Amino acid sequence: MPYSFIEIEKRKKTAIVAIFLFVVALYFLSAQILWIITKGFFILEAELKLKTDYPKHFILWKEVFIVFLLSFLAAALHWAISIRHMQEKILKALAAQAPDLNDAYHRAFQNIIEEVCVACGGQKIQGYVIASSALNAFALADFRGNKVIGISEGLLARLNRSQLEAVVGHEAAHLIAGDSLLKTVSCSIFGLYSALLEGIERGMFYSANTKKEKNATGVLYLMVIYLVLSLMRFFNFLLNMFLSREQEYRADALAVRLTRNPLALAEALYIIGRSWRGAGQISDSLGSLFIVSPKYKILDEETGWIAELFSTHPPLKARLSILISMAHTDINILKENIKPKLRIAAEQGTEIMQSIGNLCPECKTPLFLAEYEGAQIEKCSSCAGLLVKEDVLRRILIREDFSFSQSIAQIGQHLANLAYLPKEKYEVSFMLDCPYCQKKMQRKFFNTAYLVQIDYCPSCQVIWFDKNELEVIQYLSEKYRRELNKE
Amino acid sequence: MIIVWIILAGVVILLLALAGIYNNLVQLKNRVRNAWAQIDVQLKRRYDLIPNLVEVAKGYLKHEREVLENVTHARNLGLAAKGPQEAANADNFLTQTLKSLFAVVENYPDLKANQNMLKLQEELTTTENKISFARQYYNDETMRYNTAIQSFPTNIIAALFNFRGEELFQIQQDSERQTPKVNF
Repeated sequence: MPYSFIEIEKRKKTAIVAIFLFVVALYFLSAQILWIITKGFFILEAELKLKTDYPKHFILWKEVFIVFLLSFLAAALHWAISIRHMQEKILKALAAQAPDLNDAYHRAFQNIIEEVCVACGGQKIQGYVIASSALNAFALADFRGNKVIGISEGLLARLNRSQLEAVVGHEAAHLIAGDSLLKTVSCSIFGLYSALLEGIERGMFYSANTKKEKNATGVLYLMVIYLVLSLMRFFNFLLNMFLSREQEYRADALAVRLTRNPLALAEALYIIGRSWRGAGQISDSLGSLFIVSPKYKILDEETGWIAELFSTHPPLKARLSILISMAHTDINILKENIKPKLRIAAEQGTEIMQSIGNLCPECKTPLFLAEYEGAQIEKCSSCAGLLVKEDVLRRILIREDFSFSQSIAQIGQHLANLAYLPKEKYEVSFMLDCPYCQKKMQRKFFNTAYLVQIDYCPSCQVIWFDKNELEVIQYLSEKYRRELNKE
Repeated sequence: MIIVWIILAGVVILLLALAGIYNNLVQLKNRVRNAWAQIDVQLKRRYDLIPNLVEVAKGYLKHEREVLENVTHARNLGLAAKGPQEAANADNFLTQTLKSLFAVVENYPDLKANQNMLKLQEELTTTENKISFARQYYNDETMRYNTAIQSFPTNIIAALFNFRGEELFQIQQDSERQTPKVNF
């Protein structure tokens, strides 16, 4: 038995010390190079002016020592700042949130985490959810022993219970083996800054494109940011040498030992591998935290020592084939067994519960809490309109529990074929009162691609859908998702 | 003189080794106890859920009294069980009665779609999975402990200080072995 689940392994400490020394070395080298350049520059100038002799001791040991001391201090400062609250910072960068216990999917996820905790002998693990339709999962740990497993909303919607359990088992295996601490540290040293800078850079490009006059300072800022960004990215790339791709194989094996279900993990990896994993949304510099790299990289799918050294994830094919042989089956049987979820009609799936006192903006009768694709919304029992919070809506659009009736499909098809409307059609009008704050709601199109008129309250961030409107938007979003995934 | 020192050193080393092995055994035994406590917690949680389940189902299943009574009976057996073997058997019996209950529920679409029933079903599923994981963990730890007790030279010390092997949490029926976890 390779691991005892009670003791969290402290073996990774040497690797963490190695990372620290690596940071010191990076600082030292860059400082030394900078120093020599400045010195060379001034000496060259002095030489031209005074025509003195070239100094014999170009590198003085005393100077090297001072440079080392300064760079050590700088590296220690960088380290200390990066390590502080690293878990919270990464969670914030990934926009991960604690599960909403009013949501059926989130409740099931919380239960699965608790199950895996029991399988690990009573560990404490905190669950988090990223509100993204990407399919991915990650794990974080810190020096105080806090452990986090995060999962994307897309994964919750697409995988069945045993597949989710296998994925959570894989992440728990990283936590037990201590890989996660190493990865969290390595990501917060450079990766996090590079991820933050990417956001700034995106914002600046956006504002630069929208503004009519392009000023020189903006371009200068962009150049500086770009320089720092590429440096951070390069350092992060070098730092990934410390993360072995063997860790992923080991976590797969350990996950199978925990959940005793290699087939479910193989199915999950197969589904994740064929879907969008969050490239563009999840920064690539944080990729090593995830079960599969968010971005498809050729390096990941290669073998040999270069890939071994610089890649953080082993080839998906190799991982799959190991798991498939563990389950005594083959890839074709696996493909056949992956079936889409059974769908039910929306009327069948929404059951009305109690009221919390809000009134329907149309009929002024009480709204009732209801579960819609697992999420909690409010529904009017007389006009069948729905009041949905904006963050809850994002989840509903990712999920695919309901089937669409013929009429919904027809309306959706018609709207999808519509060309852009004349400009005055997009103007916002004010019709209904918000059930929460009683102020006027904005009546506008959901967005320019989904031409469905909704009522939106920007201060309460709730949306009112008349009957069938939400279903039409769901139809459209699913249609676009299908088209994107096919390409 | 040197010989005395060598003998003394030998005795000290032997004593240290003895203490090491003894401490290791105590640790292993405590882990088994802790693992058992975890199973106990989950079993109790499951027994706590049963009355709610019966309460929700009662209104719908007026003509299926027998099934509900069986579930309640199985719960009472489980609450009275002592030791791993008895607990395993009672738990197994409860699993079977629950299975027949859910088979009956399939015939009542109203009950199946009931919000409370769905929540209870999720709760029962997760508790059942937790029990099976806790059982797996308990068996792993017990196996480790039993192996330590039976292998040389630990077995001498185990016999000396009266460490006894622990029972595994096993399931009797062969049919049960093939369905380890509940999935939807």
